[in-house]
Amino acid sequence: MNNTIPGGEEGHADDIIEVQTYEAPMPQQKAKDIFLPWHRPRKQYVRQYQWCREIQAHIVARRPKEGILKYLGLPGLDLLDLRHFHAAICVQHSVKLRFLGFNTSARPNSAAQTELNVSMDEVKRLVQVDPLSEVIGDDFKQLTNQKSMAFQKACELGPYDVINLDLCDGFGAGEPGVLKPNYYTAVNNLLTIQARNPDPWLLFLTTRADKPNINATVLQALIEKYCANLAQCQSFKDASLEHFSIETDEAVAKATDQPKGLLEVFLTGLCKWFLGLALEHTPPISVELISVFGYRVDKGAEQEDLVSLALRFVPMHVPVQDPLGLAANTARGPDEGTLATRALRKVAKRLDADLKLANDAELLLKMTEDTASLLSLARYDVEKYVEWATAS
Amino acid sequence: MVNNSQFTTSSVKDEETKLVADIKASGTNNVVQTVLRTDERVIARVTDGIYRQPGSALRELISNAYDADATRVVIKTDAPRFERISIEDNGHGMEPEAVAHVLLHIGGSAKRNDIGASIGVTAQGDPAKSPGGRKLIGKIGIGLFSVSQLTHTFQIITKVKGDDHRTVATIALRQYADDEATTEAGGSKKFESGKVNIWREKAADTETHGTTIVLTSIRPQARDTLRSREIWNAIEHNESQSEDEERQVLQPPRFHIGRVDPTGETLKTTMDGKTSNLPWSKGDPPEAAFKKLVQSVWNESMYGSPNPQLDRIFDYYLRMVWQLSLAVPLPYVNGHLFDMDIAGWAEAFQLSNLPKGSALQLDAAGKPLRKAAALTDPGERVGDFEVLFDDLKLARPINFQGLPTTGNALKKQLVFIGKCREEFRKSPRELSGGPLDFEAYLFWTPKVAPVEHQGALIRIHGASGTLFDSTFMRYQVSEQTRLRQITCEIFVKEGLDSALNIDRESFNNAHPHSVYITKWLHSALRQLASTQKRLAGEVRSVVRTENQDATVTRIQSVAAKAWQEETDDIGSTPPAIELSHTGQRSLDSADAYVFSHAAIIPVNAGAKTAKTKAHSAILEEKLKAIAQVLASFGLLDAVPSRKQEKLLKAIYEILDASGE
Repeated sequence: MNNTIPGGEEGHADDIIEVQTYEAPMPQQKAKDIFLPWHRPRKQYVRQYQWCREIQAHIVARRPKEGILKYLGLPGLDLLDLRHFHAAICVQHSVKLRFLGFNTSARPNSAAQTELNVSMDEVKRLVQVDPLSEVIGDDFKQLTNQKSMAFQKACELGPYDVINLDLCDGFGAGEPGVLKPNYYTAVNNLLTIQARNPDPWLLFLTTRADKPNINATVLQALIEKYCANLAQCQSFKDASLEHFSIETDEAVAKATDQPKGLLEVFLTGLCKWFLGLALEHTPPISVELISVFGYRVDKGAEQEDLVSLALRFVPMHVPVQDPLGLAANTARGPDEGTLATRALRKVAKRLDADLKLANDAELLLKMTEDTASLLSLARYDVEKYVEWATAS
Repeated sequence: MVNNSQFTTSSVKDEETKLVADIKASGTNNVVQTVLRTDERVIARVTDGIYRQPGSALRELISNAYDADATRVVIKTDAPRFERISIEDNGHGMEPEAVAHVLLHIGGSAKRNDIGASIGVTAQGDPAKSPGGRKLIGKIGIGLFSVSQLTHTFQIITKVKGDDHRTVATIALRQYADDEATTEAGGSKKFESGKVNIWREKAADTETHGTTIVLTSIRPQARDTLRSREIWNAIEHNESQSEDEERQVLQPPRFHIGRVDPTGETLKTTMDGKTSNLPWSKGDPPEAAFKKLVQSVWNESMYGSPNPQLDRIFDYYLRMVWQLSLAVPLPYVNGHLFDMDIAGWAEAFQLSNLPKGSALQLDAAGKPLRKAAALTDPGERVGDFEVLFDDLKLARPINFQGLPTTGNALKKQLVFIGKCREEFRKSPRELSGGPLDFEAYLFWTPKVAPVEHQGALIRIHGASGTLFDSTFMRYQVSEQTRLRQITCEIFVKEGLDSALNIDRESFNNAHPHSVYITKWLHSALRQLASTQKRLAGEVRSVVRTENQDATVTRIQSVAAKAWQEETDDIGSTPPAIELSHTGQRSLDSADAYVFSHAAIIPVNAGAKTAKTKAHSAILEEKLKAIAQVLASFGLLDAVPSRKQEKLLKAIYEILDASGE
């Protein structure tokens, strides 16, 4: 007699066989001639002139411990950033690269995993890649939960010298204050790992920065923070007036109705959010916005709608104030207003990568060629790439 | 795309038809002479999984990497989730020819035959060696398909030096069904073991080489084993019980990697609020982390159970890592015994290879044993092979020096060295299996930790799938206690390989090499026992003279007598039993059992008179003696330490009961 299992109940035969079909996986991408927005030369420009330049300056100033550059990122299937950092930084400076990547394609049920496995095989065989490097299949947002596998893994390999959150979506798009996986809590939790780092470290954040990709509540919170600085910090107010013509709360509200003002207030506010979190740590961590690069993803966008922020976090080692006053304490922690003012100035000086490449044909050609050679490492059709890049 | 097409080889059928005709025509003057053939169906079953443990598959993959002259193997798991495991090596990699051969001839390995050299997997002119000259440790070409124990599908990415492409294959394994043998009988059919997709990918890194294997859909059964599901299920069931008494008994293993919740995303905490308990710290370098793992077992013998067992203190994962470390050709965690100068901490003896021979004292002072006894193991430079397993860099987890002291009168370890080459000159090679050549040590120490290291481990070319055999190849003599004090390794340089069964986890006991080694080992044990007894006797007589005035109660003497009769070691005394009021041990002896006084002896509420105090003292003395007698017969260690306390508590209550 055949076993009949009442609806919804599990029988002994359930959970014995993991796969549903008797088939071997096929290659995910049969032809390597399909190119995606992040294959454009301007991404290489950011990679080279912002990320690479800052990492290089960082490790020249202070060689990473034991000669190992610890990196947390969100690499794509082709691992282009990792390949580039390896060649441009690790080989040049004889530094090992130990990376932890988050990419859901590494999960067993992902159709893309055969491709990721090949890329990983290539990258892990690079001479300066540390054998402990890995890409895990967990979503970065899982860091929201400190008991998640993702957070535990991040703890194991951290703290990091470089964190590269290269998002396709908006960092500020999600609803704030929720328990479900989200960027805000994930980053806040990541900062607890980074607080163990006695040395300065870098964070790159790439995010959509246009209105549809910013949650209204989040924007309101950032605006309020901006207004508070206007009220409390003269240097911030002066800089805001000088660079953005914003001096009052009303001016902030008016400015954020326009793409340019929205971008500027959002980016400054976002830096202030990082600053607020970092300064709360004991000892406090100072945050410096090093540079801002942007470009347009949406056709016809007035302003840069995808922005890459480069931030440097510097642990301050400032003693706490003794409540009893027994310990003499003359050292002063970093001042939020001063740091926020500096960040505002950097936002004002942001670099428009589209404009830069449009005005410099030689540079554009170089970035196209560099992307092509990077893509060739990931087995793409280079000729087709050059055709695609020059046509679009 | 490769299809396992069905085909029959007509030549085999023709031969069979001819043989039948010959038999029919035969008589005593016309005898048919032929050779035995094996059937491919047997080997087809290999892909179905011949191994008992998921760890065996990983051992086989590491062995494959070693045979491919890899200097490093990196294994990454998503422990404790265990959905994905990757194994990457920097060996030679496989040419498309080798990939095709492996896939179409599962079990009909290219190793150990002439095809091996032509497709680049063995040395030119010596099919028993790797291209780089290592003696092969993979028995037949089933290593790759041992993964069927672990996964339904897997991916191979492989590349040889100089090739501007990688070869990529994805494989779905097929389940062998009962009815196939009958419906497809005939013996000459090629059995389909799975489906495979193969393609080539351009490679810019022409000079790199190696193979990566990714296990992509771990079988739920294997995953549950890797997750130590059995232990955690019991604990979870226990946690849901309401009675406090019951809940105290079941604890997670002393060290564990933790567990995930049903979603696989989140780690669950134990009652102490931790998600895992590892002997090393996150961020420890892999080599240091592994040393801490090994030290944790010895610490357990000092501060926890005097006889730590891996299956009680570790979860499946940690035990698997430990066993892999023992199995593959690696350096020792704190050095090879043969490289040590034993002066001051051990005495060395040379074993005789004669059936009735005796061990002779070896003058090894001031030089390593290797030099004193002209030893060569390891023949290969095992230091050139490293295995990284998640956080750990594996090494043989066997310690020889700096071991904790015990109550045994012999304070030095005893090292018995063996060196033997047997040519079997009286028999033809076809019957003897050729020469057998090995070196060995038998290491006697009052305490061997973990318990799983009590026994004999046989390595062939540095590798062992059998691990420690606690019976010492079925040694019959009742030397149970002394056998528990011996760790033995036999390093086979030549021979014995063909005596290994197909899973490489047991020996064919009828093979002449197995029989010879068994006899040799038993003779070695006999030599060890008589030497150890003699030395213990000498020490004991000195101790006895010194302690003539010491009084021993009648209760203690009963326990001591039972111990000495059972252990047959006059140099040893029963293990001390301590009923600690503080939970801390006051003895520094590694064989002492320390229990909580409060857990065993009930607190007497009433006022204590001198008489009741004396009565209690006698009962405690009796209880300790009973515990010692139980230990003499190995019965105390038969249960975990919490149960030991419950056992002693029950005995005490009987002793204390009035009898009314």
